[in-house]
Amino acid sequence: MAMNGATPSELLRVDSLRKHFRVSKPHGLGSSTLRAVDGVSFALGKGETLGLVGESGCGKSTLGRTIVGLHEASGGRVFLNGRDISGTSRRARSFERREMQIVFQDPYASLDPRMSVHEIIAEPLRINGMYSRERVAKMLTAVGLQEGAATRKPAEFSGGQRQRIAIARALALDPELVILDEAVSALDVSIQAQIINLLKALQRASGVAYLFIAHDLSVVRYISDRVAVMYLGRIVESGTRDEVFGSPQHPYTQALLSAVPRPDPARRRASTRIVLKGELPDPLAPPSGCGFRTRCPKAQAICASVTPVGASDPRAHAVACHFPGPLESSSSSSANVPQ
Amino acid sequence: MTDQSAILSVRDLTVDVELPEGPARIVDGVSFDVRANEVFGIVGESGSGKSIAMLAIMGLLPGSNMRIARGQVLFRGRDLAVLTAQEMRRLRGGELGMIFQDPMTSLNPVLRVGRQIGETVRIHHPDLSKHGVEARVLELLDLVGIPNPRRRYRQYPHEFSGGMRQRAMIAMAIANDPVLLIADEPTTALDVTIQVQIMELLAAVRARTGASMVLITHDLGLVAETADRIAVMYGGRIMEAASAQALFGAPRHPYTVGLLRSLPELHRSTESLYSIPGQPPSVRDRPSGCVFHPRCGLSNGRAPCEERVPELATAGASHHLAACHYSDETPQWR
Repeated sequence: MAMNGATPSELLRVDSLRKHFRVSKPHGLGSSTLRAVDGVSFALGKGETLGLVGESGCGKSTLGRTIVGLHEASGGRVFLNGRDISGTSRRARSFERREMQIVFQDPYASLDPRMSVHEIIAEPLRINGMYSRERVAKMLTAVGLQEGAATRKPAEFSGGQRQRIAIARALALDPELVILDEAVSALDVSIQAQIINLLKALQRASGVAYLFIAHDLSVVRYISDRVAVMYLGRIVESGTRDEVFGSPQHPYTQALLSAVPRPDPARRRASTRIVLKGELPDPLAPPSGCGFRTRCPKAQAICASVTPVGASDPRAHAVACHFPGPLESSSSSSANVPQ
Repeated sequence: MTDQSAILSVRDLTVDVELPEGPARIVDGVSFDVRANEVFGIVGESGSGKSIAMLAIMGLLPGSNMRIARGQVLFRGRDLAVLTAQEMRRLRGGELGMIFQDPMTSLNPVLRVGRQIGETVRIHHPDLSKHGVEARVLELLDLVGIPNPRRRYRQYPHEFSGGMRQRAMIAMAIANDPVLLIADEPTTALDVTIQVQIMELLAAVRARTGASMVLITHDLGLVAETADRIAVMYGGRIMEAASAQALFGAPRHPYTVGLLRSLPELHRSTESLYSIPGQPPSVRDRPSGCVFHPRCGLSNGRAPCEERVPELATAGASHHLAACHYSDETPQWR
């Protein structure tokens, strides 16, 4: 984890990144544009973890995939260690792949069922001419698997153990950045805690940076140094984890945090929960101006006409809202925490 | 021990599953009562047997390889084992309302939503006219907060969002004024801002009808904020049962303690997180004695944990039950 105070040197910078999809309308009535990622900018320092949160359909997974090159960007740029990698061809991208890995939610789907665990971890090493038997064994130990696991197939492992295998494979090349796309979301609480602790320990040991994409806000608070909140393809708020969780300024962040149930039976009697009206708007026909205005308790006329933008300094506490501000009630701030 | 005011009384419910390698016990001696007007939470990780136990109670065990080996289920004093399949069907969707995680699997995809809810209404009110049924369905759709009920009435489930489908499911579950709602992971597939809406709706429905509810979930936050009393399941058994306050404030089973300590906190930043070592047991090889003993920090390898199954017995306060040989040591160990 990055130290407080000094800013770590920049590893990844994403500048006005866009990923639009053409979606054909039913009955051959032409097509429309899905702006899955619509002008996203942020920076990630070496050895740091940026938590990217948002509900389904907000574009967080598309953003992760566009950064690693699984989707071709529709616009904007991606810099890794200062190099512009957004324009590079697929072939040239394979070089960056060594520095950039991605782990998905479902380890059942992402591991080749016919390969042994040894082969799964060895494959990226072989491709890059870095294979040795010792290196595979070292990775297995690092993720807490026994050496005997090497000869077995993924089907013989539980979900949590498979995620360990996927992490070992992703970290085998000693990448500088790993994108974790809902990597612990499918796991039970007791196993999830093991995997999160493993990710933190591996980060301390190797200095790898994580882009941690998740919808579970508690997990994101625990693992992240910095946090960005997405809604309808845009980042609505970003900052350090204590800024975003401790004093959220965007009404959506506030509603999201307030919606999370907490393991505290006393809380139900507190009538402080913000209940948003309605659902996510149709992403094929998003509202004009601020995407959140249709559900926002603070929305005014300007919200429909002018799209709010956050601060341009990537390390500032940025809020894309015309009426940012603390919650009226202080009950959900971090100041009064029942022990 | 049997609570006279209980709506649902489950005693020693035991379910066996026939696996290729032989029979295995998937639910093992589960007992609990659900009282009038209360929310009873059953919380557990995957494979704990929580959903299978509820399916067994409702007479909905999947496939032919699972069967109730022993136990009794009393619903408003009636033994459900003696009911015919038809009587059970009438009970479900009548006095017993059910809400599942994925409405797509419980709603018929080729039937219009209004018609499906109408069927449920009609089964229990055969004398109602066609218009009477439609009026009741529109009233229900409105009640569960579905905007534009007349248009929605004619739509198919796939035209509904996940949250709207769950609302339709709730409309069906409450169509005949149930006295007990059984909600199995009702919001697990939904985003948190929609989850809040659905939980508020369920609370409003309960306030209106006075129905009790069994909430089955893996989400400790959700159960803490919703349930009055809670049972924690692990490896097919109830490990601990207590009021929500007692369970979260002063847990007595080491598994509950471990689970709560494994949860990252939302309202403050922490630097380290406890994790329970090891893996939950599969139904094929459940450990001897206490099913939790190989992962238990309190047991610390003591022989009784491996040798004897601990009874679900009073621990601390009179209505606080824990299935642990050493639950009196938990407060110091915790």
